[in-house]
Amino acid sequence: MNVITILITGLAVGSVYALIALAINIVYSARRVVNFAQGDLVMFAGLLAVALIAGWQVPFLIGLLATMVFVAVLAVAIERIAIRPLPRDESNISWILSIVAVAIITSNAGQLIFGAETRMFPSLFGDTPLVMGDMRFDPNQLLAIGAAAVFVALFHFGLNRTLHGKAMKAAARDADMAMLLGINVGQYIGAGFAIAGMIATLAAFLIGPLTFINANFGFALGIKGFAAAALGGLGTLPGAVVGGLILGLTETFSTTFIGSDFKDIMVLSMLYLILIFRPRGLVGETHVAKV
Amino acid sequence: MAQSDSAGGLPAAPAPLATARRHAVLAVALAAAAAAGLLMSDPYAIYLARLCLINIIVVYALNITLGYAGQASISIAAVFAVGAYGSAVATMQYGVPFVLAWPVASLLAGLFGVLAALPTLRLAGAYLAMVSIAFNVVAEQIFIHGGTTTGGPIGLPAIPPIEIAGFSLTDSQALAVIAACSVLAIYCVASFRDSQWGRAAVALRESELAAASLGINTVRLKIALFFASSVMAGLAGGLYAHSVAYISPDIGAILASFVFVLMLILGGAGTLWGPLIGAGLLTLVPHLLSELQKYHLLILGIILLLAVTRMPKGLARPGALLRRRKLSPVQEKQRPAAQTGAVESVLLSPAPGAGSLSAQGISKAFGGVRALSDVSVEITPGMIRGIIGPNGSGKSTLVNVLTGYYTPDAGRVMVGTRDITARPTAEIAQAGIVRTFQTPRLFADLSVQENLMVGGFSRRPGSLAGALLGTAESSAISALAAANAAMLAAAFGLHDALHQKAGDLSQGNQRLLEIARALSASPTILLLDEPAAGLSHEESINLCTVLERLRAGGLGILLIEHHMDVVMRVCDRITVLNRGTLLAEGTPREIRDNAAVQEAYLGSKAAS
Repeated sequence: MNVITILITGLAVGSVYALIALAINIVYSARRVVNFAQGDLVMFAGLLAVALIAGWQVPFLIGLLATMVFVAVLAVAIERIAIRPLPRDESNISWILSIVAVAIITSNAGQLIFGAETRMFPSLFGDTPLVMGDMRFDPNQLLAIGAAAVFVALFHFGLNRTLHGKAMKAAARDADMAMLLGINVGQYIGAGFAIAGMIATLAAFLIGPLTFINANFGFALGIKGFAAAALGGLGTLPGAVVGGLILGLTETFSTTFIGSDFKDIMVLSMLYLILIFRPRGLVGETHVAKV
Repeated sequence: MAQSDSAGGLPAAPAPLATARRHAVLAVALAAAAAAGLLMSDPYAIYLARLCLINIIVVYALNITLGYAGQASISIAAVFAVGAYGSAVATMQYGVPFVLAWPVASLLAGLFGVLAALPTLRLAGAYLAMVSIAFNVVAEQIFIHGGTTTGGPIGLPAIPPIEIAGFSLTDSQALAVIAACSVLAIYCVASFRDSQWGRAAVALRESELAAASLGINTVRLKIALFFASSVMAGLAGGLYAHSVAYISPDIGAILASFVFVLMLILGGAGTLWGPLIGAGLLTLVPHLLSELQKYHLLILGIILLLAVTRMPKGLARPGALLRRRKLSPVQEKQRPAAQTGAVESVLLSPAPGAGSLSAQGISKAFGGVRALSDVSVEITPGMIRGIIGPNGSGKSTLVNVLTGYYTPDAGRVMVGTRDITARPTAEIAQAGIVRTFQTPRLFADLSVQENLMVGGFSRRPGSLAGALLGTAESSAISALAAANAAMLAAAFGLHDALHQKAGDLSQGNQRLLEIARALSASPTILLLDEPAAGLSHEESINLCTVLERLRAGGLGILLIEHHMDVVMRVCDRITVLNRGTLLAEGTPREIRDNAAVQEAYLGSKAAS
């Protein structure tokens, strides 16, 4: 196996993790909760897209847009029902149980609606590989890397350089103060979740052709996305990239050289160690609540 | 007259009788449970009952750490699975008999649980919960990729049934054993709550800072609680493996942990019967609502969502979701505390080797702010020293340095001849230095009496095993602590409120309780952080009387205060701080007449 091929695969997988981490960080920036259900949203989006595009023969672009709108609305609904009623106190863990409940409901609903079988996702490029010299690339992988880079840059700019982005961050830091300043906190939090829903759809369209879509894979994906976000630094968007890529590369290289049995253990042990020894992640500087 | 805590001073009759009675009730309950198990014959009923009872044991185990101790570590299914896999593997692959494999696997689960406890030493709240999720997911992966030992993703089929003395138990007999074990689990957790360990656990949840200030070694406490909880869960796991005959990595999945957590919070975390209600309901209801397995998780998810979003304060306060806690009307009167001889008599025997508390050359900076610069101060037993100064002069920082909450950048803190600079707070408290907090950090959910009993935990905890089993020794320790607590409460005029929750007291009484609680930890030096704040004139006079009597009993007191009349009246010497430096030190008269002090703090024409 070619090192370059492994590298590209690792970067592609890492890019998808980076996108999931991106969504998690945006939600975290708007309302200090980690969206463990992000992976299930991705899978749900994937299942819906497959049903529309492959099942009902809806044109690709329309299927993409329709899925994006639906999942964005779903995400906003999740925020209203599961997050809004909860207290903001940082030591309180109700939101974890609430989000997990959402994850359970989403994956089981997806299973009941779309079936428990694994689906193949339609690829934009068909099955033809990209040939450069004597190396063959999967164009879906390159698309994943490129798209992730573009979106992270876009949202990093949006969150940190625009007034709306700063308002969103203010809403998370100190909601009461933000409201006194005239910031409609509820709207920004809702927007954060809607964006997470849109990114979930994008991630589904990028990861779909690379692996499979199955209602049960969602939670594991969400945990890995969280690992990427925590590794880079919760709430920081460059952190999503750093974390995602490191995670993707680690996973791919350990699969190749150690065997796929232990890749998950490696990845999750990294998460465990980071949370204990460097909770702010590699890139992050945010204040962390400790005992 | 110091309180004796030798065996001769114990109230003799009540404790052994109460213990015997409790044990008798337990024996009857065990027999009844076993009989009920033996009488069941319908296979589906046995299956449901078995599931229910095992869940009950696990949720009671979870109640120890998550409910009573408030530690947001939610990886209980992982230790349950260690117990299950451990016992199964030992019997099937190594030929170990069940009666040995089962307890050994549970001890292994206990050790694994200690691993899970380690993050609690540095993290709390949401971060701790997330770490425990990661831990649980890693653990699950180990079971999935355990090769032939754990049977991989498929798991282990054909696990032999429970075997005792060569006899394999039938389903009904196994059910009888399981029923007896769940009765025992309830008994153990109830005994635990009624012991000093239970009070220490709740204190840990209510305010870890205050618990440490009373000398409680929170590290050892957490590890011990997680060990006990995990052993219990591991025992349940072993019972599960040998009665269901097939286990897969699912039983240790993070999802399983969430279900157990849901059972606990639905029934009421930190309550006695909550785990029973929660486990019972959530095991039976999905089966009753639908025979189709595929809907069970969806139903559970919806129940979890509804439960969590309906609770008014989330998981901040324990209490049943399904039963409202009645708020009893507060009816206590503020009584003068000065009862002749009462206050001195509650000074419990001081820590061995205790002496004066002295700080030399303390400096402490936070970023660019110099909170303290080269400050020295000394308090000897039998004296009251006041610390006064404008806001921001470093008074609270000094107390934090003296009690180990902050490490000074320079300088030393000594107790007698012993250097305690930067030692852990609990260790300093055990050396006799106890503090109160500016805003009372009472254990709100404990009664007044229990608040006053927590101080005795670090001196005489008794064994955790004894607490769980409800031994006579454990009861005696509690009885002694209760008696001391009642005396302390009476001395401070809180006797009428003895059984009220501390959180329901009036402000003034809360401050008195805060001081009384500090005394319950047998200090030689007491550090009071603005005890007179918010007190009325009459209450301030009470406070002065209390302080004078404590001094007469041999206590040394460091008093941070802004109430000048209190300071001038009771203090033997006063230290004045201004912007982190020592401005003046002397008798009240000297300080009052000191021009620099007047300018900085008292005002140029200080009232005498």
